[in-house]
Amino acid sequence: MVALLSRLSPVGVQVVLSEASEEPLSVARIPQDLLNRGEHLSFASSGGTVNRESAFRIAASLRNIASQYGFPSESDTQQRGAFDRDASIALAQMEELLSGEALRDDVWACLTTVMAPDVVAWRFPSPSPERFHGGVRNAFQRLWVRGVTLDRGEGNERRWELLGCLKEDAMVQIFERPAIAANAPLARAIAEAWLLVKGRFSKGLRELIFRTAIKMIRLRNEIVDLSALEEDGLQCEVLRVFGNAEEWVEKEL
Amino acid sequence: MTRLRLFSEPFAKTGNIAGEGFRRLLGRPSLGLLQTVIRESLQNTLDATEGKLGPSVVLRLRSLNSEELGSLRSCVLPELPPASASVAALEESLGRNGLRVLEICDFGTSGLGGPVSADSPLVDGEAPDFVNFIRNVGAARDTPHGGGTYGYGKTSLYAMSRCSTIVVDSVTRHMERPSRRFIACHLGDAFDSSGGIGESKRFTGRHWWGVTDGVDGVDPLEGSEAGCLAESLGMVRRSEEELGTSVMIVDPALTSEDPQQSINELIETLLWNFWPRMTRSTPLDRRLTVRLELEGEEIQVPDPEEYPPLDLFSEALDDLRSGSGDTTEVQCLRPRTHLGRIAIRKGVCGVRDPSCIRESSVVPDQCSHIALVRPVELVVKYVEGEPFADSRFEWAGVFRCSDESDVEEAFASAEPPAHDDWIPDNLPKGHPKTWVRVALRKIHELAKDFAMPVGERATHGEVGPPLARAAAKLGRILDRASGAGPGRSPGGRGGGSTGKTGGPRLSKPVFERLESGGNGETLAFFRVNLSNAVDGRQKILVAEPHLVADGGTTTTSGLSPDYQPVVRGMRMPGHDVAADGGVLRVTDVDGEVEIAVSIPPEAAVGLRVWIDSDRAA
Repeated sequence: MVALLSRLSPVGVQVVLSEASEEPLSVARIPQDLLNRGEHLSFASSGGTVNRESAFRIAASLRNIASQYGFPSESDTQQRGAFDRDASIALAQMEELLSGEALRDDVWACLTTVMAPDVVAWRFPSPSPERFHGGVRNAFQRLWVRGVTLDRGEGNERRWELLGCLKEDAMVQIFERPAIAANAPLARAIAEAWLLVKGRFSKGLRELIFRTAIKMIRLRNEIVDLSALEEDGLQCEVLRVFGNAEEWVEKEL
Repeated sequence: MTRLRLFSEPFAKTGNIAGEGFRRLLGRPSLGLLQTVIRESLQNTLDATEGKLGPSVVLRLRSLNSEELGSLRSCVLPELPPASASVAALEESLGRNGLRVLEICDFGTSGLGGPVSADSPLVDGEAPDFVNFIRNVGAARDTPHGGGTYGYGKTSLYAMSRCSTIVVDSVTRHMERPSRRFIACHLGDAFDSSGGIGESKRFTGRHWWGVTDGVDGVDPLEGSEAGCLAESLGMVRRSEEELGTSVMIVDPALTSEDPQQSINELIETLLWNFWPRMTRSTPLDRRLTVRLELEGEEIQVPDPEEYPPLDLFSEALDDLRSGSGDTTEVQCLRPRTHLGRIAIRKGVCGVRDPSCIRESSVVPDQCSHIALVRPVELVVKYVEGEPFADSRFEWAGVFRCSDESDVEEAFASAEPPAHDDWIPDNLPKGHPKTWVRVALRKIHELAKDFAMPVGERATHGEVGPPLARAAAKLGRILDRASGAGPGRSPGGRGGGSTGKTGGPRLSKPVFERLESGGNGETLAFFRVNLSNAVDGRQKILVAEPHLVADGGTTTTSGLSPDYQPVVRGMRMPGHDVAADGGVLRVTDVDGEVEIAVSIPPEAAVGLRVWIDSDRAA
């Protein structure tokens, strides 16, 4: 049975954020206050069973992962990167998020704004509102998308390797470009290709080559429906573009 | 069970409006009949809303069973009007087995209150809803910032019925006491009749079935008997507390005999016209809740957020409501007046709901529209703009006019009776007319230009759909992915100019063909039309290609020079005018200009063409 998760409307996010603007986000105050009022919070009217505990469980799990990397104390870039990786893996496997509920922006808005705003504030010191609103930049939704997209599948010995191989800049290049993010096989093919070729480049060149390749792929995607290619064909095509990008960047420098 | 009595309205000595004239009051709405009926009915519902919660509406499409049909024939319409055309239409409808009815039932509204006779004086604060809906014609709006203005929408209810007949059941409060009212109405043509006493008389063609008022007409059946009669027809049950009105359209003329198709059309009509009042961010006191029933089974109505492209429209409206996000002010400079704001959202084309996958669907496959609304937030119409060249992406916007009373009134007054347009010519000369005209012009401009980011436009008016469509088709052929490319068929869209009235004009570039340009490159040929250019002065035409990514333009920054698209030549066939690059000098010639552009091997290309008047000067 699908567990229906609590949802928070965009207006609700704004209300909470405006109320919280004068004091630090704390887990104790906002949820209780908002839950007591019941405004802007809702559940789907059908399609499963309302489960008020699920969202709290997800939040507790994220808080637990964060605490392994220094939460609630200040964190460094490395710790935050490790949290992103582990949280992506955890979110991608959570039973509560295996349904269509995870595709909804308002579910994620509720998780970030009501259930675990303290974790968001820890992960993003001075977070912008878009980290709380549902969407590609939502603090947890982005991690879930990464986890689900870059999952090599149950039974694979190195199931989550791709999550570790891409730095934050590369993740943003992939997952904040709608034409790529909306195409999971393409996003995965890019990550796989990067894993194969990145060792060939010096650290200084990696970011430049990756950015160039992503731009070339976006251009190519306009004239060839890359999502229509078979897995092998797609992988070859992406590798070929990485080769072109490498050739061009090295020539340019 | 009470049997209703027929009353046919005779012409008064001072004249009346005839049935034909009443039917014509609606004018010629640009919408389909079902759309008009739903829009008008729900608009009235929203205006009549009472209480802290918004209204709820139940739309029911069902067939009457034999008992219900029997009750309709023998108790509600026991006597047919003495007019041959009306008799023929009613007999045909009432003779159908499984006669279908469409019911529009609202709750949380005030019901049809006020006196039941049009000549009864009004008690203080009482709204004459019953007589305005059942008897009068063209009663003016009395709801501040409401959706309706003329009260002609009810005409569409009769037009929807194949026998021009509706049955109305309303629970309301009158003189501070609950009141239930039941009446049936038919709208026929004017006719002459003896009236049963030998003296010939002319009748308007309007007929009502009710209980005699003791003088010369009929009033609605009231009280528990009204409830019994409504229930005998299978109409929704209502307690005295459940204020609202049920209108039953007898034998509706739906576009399809397939009820599922009709339900799909209803869902689409509802959402396409009322989504601003159905989104999750709509305040509760304004939110419209709609249930749909087909033969007694409830049909789920999706939320607008789950019904692309209304998801983008909803986001745009949220931006306007919250004041956050990127919105554009629409202003009139003389007199300086704030006319409203526009918000636009773009995204990947969402998969369309099954209900709008029909040939006649009004929901576009690739949205590029701006919805026009007044502060009451009912969609007046959609302005179609230029879509993204890549049909995997779409955009949707909302223009909401200012809630400042003068401005809102100007837009309301510019609406025709069906409330489906803003027509500035409906207004007398003056500021209101200017406001509506200026707003519409700016909305159209924005709709035309949005798909091409402003920063990428040439200063003298960018024109040019990108080559993405053609390149997409070519790419699909070359790369074994079958099927049609994502682009729309070229051509068909006019417009584009230098932006100066009376000056030279350029049409939008239209892709013509691909050719091998030798040395391995591929050339795309576009055509634009230059007109109004014979004025003795030299014109300089500039063509500039650009790359396309994610449905918009992008630069070659960070890429190899091979990615730079180049204009290889421009010429005017039939004239001795040609140039090798992207600049063509033209003097005293009108006609077609052919432009050849080299395409990078791995990318799609767009083209902008403009007249560079600065350089010409």
